[in-house]
Amino acid sequence: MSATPAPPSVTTRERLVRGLAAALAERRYVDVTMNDIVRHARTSKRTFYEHFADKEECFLELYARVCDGLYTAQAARVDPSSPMRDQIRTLTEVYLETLSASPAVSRAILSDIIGGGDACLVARRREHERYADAMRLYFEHARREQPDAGIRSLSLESAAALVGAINELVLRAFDAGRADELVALAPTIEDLLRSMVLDRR
Amino acid sequence: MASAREERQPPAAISPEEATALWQLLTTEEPKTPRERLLMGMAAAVQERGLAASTVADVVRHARASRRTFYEHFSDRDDCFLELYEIIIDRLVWLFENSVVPQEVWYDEFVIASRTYLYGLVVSPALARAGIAEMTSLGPRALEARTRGLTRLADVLIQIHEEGRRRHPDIPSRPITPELALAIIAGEHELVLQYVQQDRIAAIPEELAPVCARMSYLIGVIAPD
Repeated sequence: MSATPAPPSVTTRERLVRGLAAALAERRYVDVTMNDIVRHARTSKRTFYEHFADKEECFLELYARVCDGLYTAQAARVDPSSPMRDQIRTLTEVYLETLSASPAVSRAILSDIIGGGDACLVARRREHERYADAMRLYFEHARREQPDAGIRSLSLESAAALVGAINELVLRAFDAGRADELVALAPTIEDLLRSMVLDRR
Repeated sequence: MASAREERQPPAAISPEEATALWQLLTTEEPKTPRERLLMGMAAAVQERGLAASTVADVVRHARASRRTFYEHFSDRDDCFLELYEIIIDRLVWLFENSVVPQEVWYDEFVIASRTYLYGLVVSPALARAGIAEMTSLGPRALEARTRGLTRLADVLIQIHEEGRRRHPDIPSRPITPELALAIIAGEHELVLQYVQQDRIAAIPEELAPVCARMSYLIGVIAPD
């Protein structure tokens, strides 16, 4: 996160973020204590406070890292010259695989963050906007690359609504106890994306 | 902003004033029972100070009731707010159900319906903020209420779409599944939440109606192959 000064030691900081991720596998975000985080990170509370002001700040860094990881994975896997239908399939696959890799963290990011306080809500909005804008630019670029493929332009607002719609599908799956079957959502998410961006499905 | 970039604007069959009036018809009813009075007291408290700052003391002051009466009806402030939330959802469902005005162009019907619905939503900016943004910090009970509310609105979307399909048989279409309908309603609310967070509540109906309409329309039509 750009507002955070350069960390004195990247590895310790990373260990703390991973400590929080490990703690989230045991209990929900609101119930995770500082003791849980430092226990998993094998460090001290003192060290924690050298890196983060509070649990929330640590969580927001975890959040940003997961999002960055998702962007990188999507960019690495998708082939921009393939038919848009296939690109949508790959983007969806990577999205669901990323969330499935750590269901507890995904749940915290998609659901618990909402009740995590003002800073969490602001961070959530920022990441959503970032993701929506990336999505808009992605399809804009694809329109230029494949002008005859019937790819529609997506406004920033439409992209934001799409992000919200997709997140809701994942949340419903979590609530229904299907966190380990997120890939089953792929056809629905692809349908949603195709409906919004493709003239020809 | 958004409206300029989205598809063309249909004629306004319902003016903002009419949409507001539709909503107020429902809200100006005199509370009949102590419970209703407390719920209206809750609404008044939220309008005055926002949900986060509203206390049971505020609610009973507005309702002209005692704390004892309050606790005879509700276990706490959140309990009372969540019941008010259900009432607001009832009214939004009613407004959404009655928002369809048949048009020659099917898409136009969605713009009009979305605009009417969104005008209803922002009649009270404080309640909109409470029900969409502040509500989310009230814990699992509130999240369940949110899901129930969104599901009811999604059912209306399905119904509106089915009626539209009968009026516009010339446009190839398909039923919207409950899953997709809920996703779309949630997506629209996400967008509304963004506007609420940015303090742009007044701009919601005009700017977001075309976006919501486009999404609701596109999900149910079958593009030529």
